[in-house]
Parts: sequence; C-alpha cells; structure tokens
Amino acid sequence: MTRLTGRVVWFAGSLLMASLIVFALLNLLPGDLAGVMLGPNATPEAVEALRGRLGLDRPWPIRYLEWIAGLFSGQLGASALTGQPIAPMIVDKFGVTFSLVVFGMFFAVAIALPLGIHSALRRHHADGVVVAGISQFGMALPVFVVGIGLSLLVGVRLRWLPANGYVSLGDSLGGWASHLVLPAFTLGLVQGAVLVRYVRSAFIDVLNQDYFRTARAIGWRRWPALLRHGLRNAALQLVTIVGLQFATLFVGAIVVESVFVLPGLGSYLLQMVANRDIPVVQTIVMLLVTLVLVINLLVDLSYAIIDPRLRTGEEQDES
Amino acid sequence: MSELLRVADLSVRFGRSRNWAVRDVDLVIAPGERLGLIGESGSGKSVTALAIIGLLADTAHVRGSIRWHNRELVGMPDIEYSTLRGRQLSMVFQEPMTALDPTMLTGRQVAEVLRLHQGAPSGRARPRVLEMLGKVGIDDPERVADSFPHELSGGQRQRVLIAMALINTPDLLIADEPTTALDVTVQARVLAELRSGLAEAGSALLFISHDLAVVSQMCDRIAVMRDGRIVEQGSLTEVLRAPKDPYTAGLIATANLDAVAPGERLPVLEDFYDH
Repeated sequence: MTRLTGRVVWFAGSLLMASLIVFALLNLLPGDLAGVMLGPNATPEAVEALRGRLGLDRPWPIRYLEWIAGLFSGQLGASALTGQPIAPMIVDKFGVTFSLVVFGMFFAVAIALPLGIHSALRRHHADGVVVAGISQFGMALPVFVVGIGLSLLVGVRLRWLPANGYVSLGDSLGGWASHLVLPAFTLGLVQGAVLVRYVRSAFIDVLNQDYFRTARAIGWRRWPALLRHGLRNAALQLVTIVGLQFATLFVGAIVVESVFVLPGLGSYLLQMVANRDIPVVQTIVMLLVTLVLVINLLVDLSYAIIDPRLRTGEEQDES
Repeated sequence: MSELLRVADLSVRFGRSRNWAVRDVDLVIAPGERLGLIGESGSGKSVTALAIIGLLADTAHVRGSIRWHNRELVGMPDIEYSTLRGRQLSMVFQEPMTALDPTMLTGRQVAEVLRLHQGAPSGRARPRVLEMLGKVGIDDPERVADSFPHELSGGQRQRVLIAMALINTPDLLIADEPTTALDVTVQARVLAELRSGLAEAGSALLFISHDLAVVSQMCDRIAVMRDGRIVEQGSLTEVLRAPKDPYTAGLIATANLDAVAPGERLPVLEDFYDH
C-alpha cells in the first residue's frame, strides 16, 4: 500500500505544479487576452474595460481556482475569439489524436519487438547487424518526410489507402480505420525505429542472464525461451521507454496531423496558439500534461505487476 | 562396454581468438557412472560441459565429436538438440541466486520442465512437482512451490534447480560447481541430496569442481583438466593413490594440508614440476 499511495501523492503533486506553471506561463506574462482581442490600435481605456468584463482584473489566485474548478466540473469555458464552448471541440479532436497515438504505439511495438529480438539473437551475425543499422537510419528520418513519402506512394500512386483526410468513427468504421492506418503507421514507423534499439539491448541483457541459460538447459528453443522467460523481464525496462515515448508521440502527432490533414488536437492547438486564444490553449496544454502524467503513473504502477520483487508490503506474514 | 557419452578430440575456441579454450578432450561416460572433472578456473571444464549440452555462445567454434547414445551432437540442429535437453541430458549451474526466472513462481518453473517434454497439463504436474521438491530435501514443498525465487534461500533455490534437472529422470546430469556458491553446512546437505536423487533417477553424473574433496565424495572416476587439456583420468582411488601427472600430484598434496608437519612450508603446485 505504501508504494501505491506514494505514487498517487507524487502524481497529484506533479499535477498541481504543472497546472500552476501552465497557468502562470499563459496568464502572468505581459500581453493578455484583452489586448490580443482588441488589437494593437485599441486605447488603454478600452482594453481596461474589456479586462473588467472578462474578469482579468481580479487577483490571479481566484482566476486560477476558477479555472481548476471548471476543469474538474467539465466546464471548460469558451473560446475567447468565437465565444463557442470548447468542451465539444476538444473532445472530438482529442478522440482523433488519441486514436492516432494509440495505433501509432501499436505499430511501433509491433515493428520493434520482433525486429529487436531478432537483432539481439543474431547480434553476432550479418542480418542482426543489418537490422540494427536500418533502425539507426530510421531514427534519422523526420516524421514529415516519412508521412509525405507514404502518402504519395501508398495513397496517390498505389491507391491502396486514402492519401489524407478523415472520416469519423460514427459515420463509417471502415472509413475511419482506413484513414487512420497511414498516419498511425507513419508515427509508428519512426517511433518503432527508436524502440528497436531499446528492445535489442533489453533482450541482449536477458540473453546474458543465468535464467535464460536455465530455460535453454531445460529444453526451450531460443525464441520460446525468450518469449516465456525474457519478455516479462525485458518489459520492466521497455515499459519505462514506452511510457516516455507516449509523450513524444503526441508531439509527433501534431506533425502527422498536418501532413495527413487530420482534424486532431495538434493542428487545432497550433491554430489556437496562432490566434492567441489563451483559454483554449491553456486547457489543451493542461489536458496533454495530465495525460502524460497519467501514463507515467500507470508505468510506475505496472512495475509491481511485472516484477514480484517490487510487490513489497502487500502481505507481511513472513519474518 | 555400453556407453552413454563419448567425447573425442573435442576442441573449442571463441570468436577470432587463436587460443583453444578446450583442446583435444576425450571423455567417456557409461550409464549411471559418475565422472568428476576437476581443474582450476579457466582450465576449460565449464566450456567442455556447455559443449556437451550444446549451449556454447554463438561465437564458439567446435571441432571434434560428441556422441550421445551413438548420435553425433556436434552440429545437431537446435530443434533436435532441444528435445534432448531437460529430458535425457540436463544441467545444474553454479549460481543458484540468478538461475531461476525472478518473475515466475518456482513451482511453475519446475512444472514447465515436465510439461515441455511430457505435455502434462498443469494441474496434473503439481503432485509430481511437490514430490520431486520433497525428494531433493525441501521440507515444505507446498510453500516453496508457491514462492517466487527471491523469497527462497540460495540452498533452497539450488534444490529447486536440482529438482528441475532430475524430474524427467535424465540419463546424464551435468553439475557445474553446484555447491560452490553455498555455505559449507548447506553444501554437505545438498551434495547428499544430489547423490540420493541421482541414485533414484539412475542418472549418470558429470560433476565439475575445483574442489578435490567434493569430487572424491561424489564420483567414481576423475578427469583432471589444465589449460584446456585433460592431463590425467582414471578411477578415483587409482588417481588419488598414484597420480601420473605432476599437476594432479600437486592438487592432491595441496588438498591434503593436514599431512604437513607443523612448522614446515606448505606445498605449492610448482613443487611438483621438474625445472
């Protein structure tokens, strides 16, 4: 229990700190929302009057608490420019980005796990070295180059999949999936190239362990021995990396959404930053920060599920 | 004479190294026989053992022949070799602390050896696992089977590994310094349990050690290795009484320090070589 509560307290503390930083960056710096809305030619009196109407003249702790209370109650407020409530917009766009990131991670793991294990097992042979080399090359490729290349090849020339655009899940399951495959694969390919190296080194580690030798000595062949006794042990290292990669995937998603013209959170965020629509930006950034922290918490909690040696304090019936 | 294992002219080297870790080794083991392989660290004992069970590193180059029930093991495809390991041919290693999968209950790891070769469903394997754990000297098999390796002592872990190695009644058990990492008191008990386990399974033994006293408790024949070669082999009593090689003579004298009169210089290996 102690470890669990410790992690949750840490999570709550990080969330509090992050919200304060996000709020401070966007609200306490010079050039606030009223000035942006009225433009550079507005009189100071007009700006002051708008500040009063928007409530920006009140002390910052009150505005901060109002924002937090809004987030908790689901009242995310309205766009400063259009006056529309932002909650439905964000929910839609977040759905697009989230599916993109999850499928991207799926592709990354599906690519990296077999290739990484193969190059670990064959590290003294030419093919193992070649795989490691290709992953090095893949890491150096920018996401947008891969995206444009795949879009042109698979979408435009071969016409196997839509080159870009989006169909919502409610309209057509097939349309939704076919529009997500290429962007998610793009994201997964680049992330997978990075992941291959971690998988390779985690499994080389396992190959040198005594328990792997025991598994071989009782009659397992190499792949089954690795999957049965190596996967869980390697997972301890890999779960950390995969958790960190989720954060980079959200960054990569912004680029991929632009390349494939997906109506996701990334492109929306960029647009709102350009418009200086502070309430929207603030809420989206906080949402992304929360998500990354939640993933970190899940990673932390998964250690104890993976490794029994970390399950301390569950039961203490032994001396 | 029937034979289980015949190693002939076995040589092993690694990677691009020109030095042979093992050179021209000849060994024969008959069914049920117990052969001790003795020598200092780096003499090639463990490499010989790993070559026999086919678990040398990828970078190893093997020359010579290892015949098992008259089948050649050198160059045998892994798919075939794997069916022998853990069933006809098994091995216990030196380091019990790290030899078990830390993420799996020990009972499941023992059961796995049964299921892998006999296809027994997990429920049916359990009574056999508990029986086997009891035979190798574990007092509370139920609790040990339901523990993770880190919850057990080194002696218990090595017993679990011995149980895994013997549960399929192999024809040959290779034990590579199985008690070196254990306390002296635990060592004596584990050796006794190993002896009775072997007797019951009817398995032959290749026992690797640097400790002459331990080998003489466990084995009927002995082979002495030095610098990758076997310098002498024969029946235990024969070799101990009249060693032919100066290295063996030195080994016997240094293991028998009680015979040195108080005040005299202790013998060292160099004393047994003519310069």
